[in-house]
Amino acid sequence: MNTRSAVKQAAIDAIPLCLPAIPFAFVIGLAIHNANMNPALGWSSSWIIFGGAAQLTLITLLGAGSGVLAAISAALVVNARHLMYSAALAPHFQHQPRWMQWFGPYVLIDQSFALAMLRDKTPPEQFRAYYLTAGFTFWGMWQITTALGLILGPVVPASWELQFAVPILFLAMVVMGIDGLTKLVAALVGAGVTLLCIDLPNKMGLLVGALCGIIAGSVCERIKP
Amino acid sequence: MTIFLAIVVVGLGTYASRAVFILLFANRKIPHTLQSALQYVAPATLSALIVTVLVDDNGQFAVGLAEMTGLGLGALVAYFTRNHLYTLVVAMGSFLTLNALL
Repeated sequence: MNTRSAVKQAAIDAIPLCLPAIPFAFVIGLAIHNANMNPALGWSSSWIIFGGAAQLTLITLLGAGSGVLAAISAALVVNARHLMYSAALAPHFQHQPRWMQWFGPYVLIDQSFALAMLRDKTPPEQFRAYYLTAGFTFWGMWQITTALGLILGPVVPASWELQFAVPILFLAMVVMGIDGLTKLVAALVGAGVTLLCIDLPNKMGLLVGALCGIIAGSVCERIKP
Repeated sequence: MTIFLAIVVVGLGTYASRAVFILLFANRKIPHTLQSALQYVAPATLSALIVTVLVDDNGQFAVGLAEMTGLGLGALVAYFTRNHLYTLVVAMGSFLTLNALL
């Protein structure tokens, strides 16, 4: 595969993976609107953070009046899964120039991770062309669709109760990510403990619940036969 | 201003979590305990988030029959189709239908 065909292949692979992110981007646009945030300010999270789940967490929690520190920590915890991607991809970046090692991680999201992991036999130069093309296809799509969500989201009548789409999308992400009993335990404990801690100030129950879920999953993995 | 700072902090933190192993640990192994704990971050946090966003302004867990049905059907569709759009359509559709009927 030469560089040119790597670019072409990346575009072919990336575009279908963009489609599921579109409703997500719209809900973020709507969440910015509901949080009474300046639209341009809210949208800046698309290129500063470039991570749907963290953006949605930060925006909804700020809009729901939880403390700024609680909202920031929750968003960071949500995005901590990228540590896993970074670790898994580190060997693929070993033979890349230093600028690529700094620049590549900016577009490391769920989709680009999934595509990059399938290209581990690709020579460095083609890997770079492939990874950057795929990553920036997602990036461009994300900037445009979140902006569209900001414009179109508020036009949707309130009776459609589109804000209910937020928990649905989080649920979809949980369900699609569960591939075994230990992750199911982590998810159930995370939700259950959060529910029990609902009266804690600043939505801190979220962090307590998430932490308990992570511990429960790890313990479960250890005692599993 | 506070909001912008919050966005920047989360942006920097997110970039750091994406870059740290690529920049520093390209040739080293990650401790096994950390690696195994990391895979539970997404399910535990996201499900905690679902509960958090379902709490209404009065601090009550606001989930009635319509919400339950929407979430339940949504979970099934997500599991079997792995598609965000189908999940959203079925879950929102059943939720709004029940809401209108009840």
